[in-house]
Amino acid sequence: MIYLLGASHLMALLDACGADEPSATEHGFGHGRAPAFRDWPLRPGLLPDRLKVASIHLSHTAPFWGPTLVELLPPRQLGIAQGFQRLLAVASKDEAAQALFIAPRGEEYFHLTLAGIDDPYDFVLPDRPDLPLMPDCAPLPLAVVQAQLGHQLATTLLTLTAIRRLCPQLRVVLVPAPPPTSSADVALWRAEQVRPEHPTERLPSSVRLKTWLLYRRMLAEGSAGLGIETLPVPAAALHADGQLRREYMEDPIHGNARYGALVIAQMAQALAGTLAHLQEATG
Amino acid sequence: MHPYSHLPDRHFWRRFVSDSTWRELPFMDLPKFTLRTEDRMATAGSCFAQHITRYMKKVGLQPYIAEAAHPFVQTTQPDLADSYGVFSARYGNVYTARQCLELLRQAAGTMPVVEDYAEHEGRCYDLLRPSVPKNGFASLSEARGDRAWHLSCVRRLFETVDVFVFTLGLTEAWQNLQGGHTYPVCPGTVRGHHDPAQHRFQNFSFAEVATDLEALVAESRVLNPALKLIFTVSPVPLVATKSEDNVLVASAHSKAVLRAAVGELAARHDFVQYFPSFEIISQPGSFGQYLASDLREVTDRGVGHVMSCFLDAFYPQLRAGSALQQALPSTALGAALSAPREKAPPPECEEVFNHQSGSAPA
Repeated sequence: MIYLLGASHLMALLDACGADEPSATEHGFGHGRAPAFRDWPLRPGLLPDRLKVASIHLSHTAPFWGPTLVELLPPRQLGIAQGFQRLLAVASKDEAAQALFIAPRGEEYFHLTLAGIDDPYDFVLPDRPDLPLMPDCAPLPLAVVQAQLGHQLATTLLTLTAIRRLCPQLRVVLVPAPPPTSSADVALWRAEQVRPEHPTERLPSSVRLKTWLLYRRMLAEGSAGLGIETLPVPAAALHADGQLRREYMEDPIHGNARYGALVIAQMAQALAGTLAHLQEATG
Repeated sequence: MHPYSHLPDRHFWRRFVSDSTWRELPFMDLPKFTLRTEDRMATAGSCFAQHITRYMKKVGLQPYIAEAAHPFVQTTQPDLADSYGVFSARYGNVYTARQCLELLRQAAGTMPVVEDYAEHEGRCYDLLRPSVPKNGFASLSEARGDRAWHLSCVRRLFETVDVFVFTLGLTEAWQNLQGGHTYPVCPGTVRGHHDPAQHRFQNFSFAEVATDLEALVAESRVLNPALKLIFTVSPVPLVATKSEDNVLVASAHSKAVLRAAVGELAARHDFVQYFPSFEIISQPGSFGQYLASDLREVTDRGVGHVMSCFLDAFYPQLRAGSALQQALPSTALGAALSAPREKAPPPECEEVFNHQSGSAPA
């Protein structure tokens, strides 16, 4: 059995899984239901086992589990919502479980780029000298951006800690949110929308990309410390500079079903042990 | 009858000075212009200039900050955020007229941006503002990027400010032989290394200071034709001199040159005002009452006197009994103008490293 847990970024994966099935959104996934793992129809040959999926989003789980999924209680205790414990127990106790894939929110970096709209910022990412500082953005020390992302990631890493505690033997693999797209691609996408709901991207795309790269690195490093692996971003979906190609974007934050198909293929490779660049767990 | 016959008391030493207590002397009795509390005032200069920003905040005025700490910095690195409000932009101490002129020219794009950095214990320091930030930058790229941003903020400052207050500190400076640019302090004292083949000592003459100040006024008014300028001379003597004179004689020379150059400048322009910080503290009539035990530093009481004169002169609406003064919290103006007893934070002075033999302390 393959378990998949996530929120909005699940949709691209689920849309890629089912042949002639209604889309995940049309299926009513993640809206008004008590989160629980349920079977998701798979096209033959995509994954080596059956797929069970649960959608967790705080705004949706709150009516069922309370507003706090996981919290840090002094001095060193985790408070985990009862419903979340029951949900994870299903995967943990399943002797046939091969892995639990988690697609985290992705808003951690996106919130930062939104917060930067009024006060555009930039920073030097040492291993990306090809992304120079932009002239109209306040340059910040790397440590400041790391600290901001750290605040944003704290809840996610706490949740991953809880998952590891609840599923100590299960292989857990992270599916990071896709990187941002270029400003030009976003503009093209926006022009096609009848009612574009996403706020205007006023931060240069290079800053959004650097923020995402830092976010992904911090998430992967934090996860590795918990014994959780991280999938690489599918190279085929990326421009040479690392931005998501337009044909793989659903909107400025999410990948589409085409992107989801690449990730599903990676998941299959990870399960078969043939995936290159899989960030190993160290915990 | 002669030309002095009908002059008011302020023209006569006995009536203006001898018959008054030092504290009650109206040092700045006829300013060429006054300011509204909503006017944007930017400050720059030697370490003494830091008091202006501090006192403005104390009486409820908002000094103009063209280079503010980003909100992310404020929430994650409050120590770093503190370095932003010292002056109106993060240029650090600007001791000489030439240094200020070169800063303006780089910001205005009339002079190439100076790239002069030094590495120290894995951090990168901008030698044109070696204490900004205190712990330097993580990399050369970060330092360059921050310098470019800083200069864009300085340009915006000159374009948008109503009045620019510059406190002149020194005539002595060090310059780069190849680039010709001027350092705030000698490389090797705060950061960097002194290299006689690269760094030369320069003691600016009266003519040079006067020319630099005239250029500073003219070129800043190109960016902002309505700009007013207030110049003052720091009363704090030199920490050390590289001239052939002893430090006391060198200080007197330096301050005299600065005072005379500003005097000439102010006499030529009705939008340029000289403010007598130097006289309030250093004129013999003060009997040295505002000097600290080293006979160099100015006590907070002295700073309080300077600033009460400054605010009184340029902000008449802040004077006792005014509507604005009554509207301010009782602790603000009263504390600032009449009883500045609280311990003031010492200004950041890179110049003090001149008396040390090695590099900057950790």
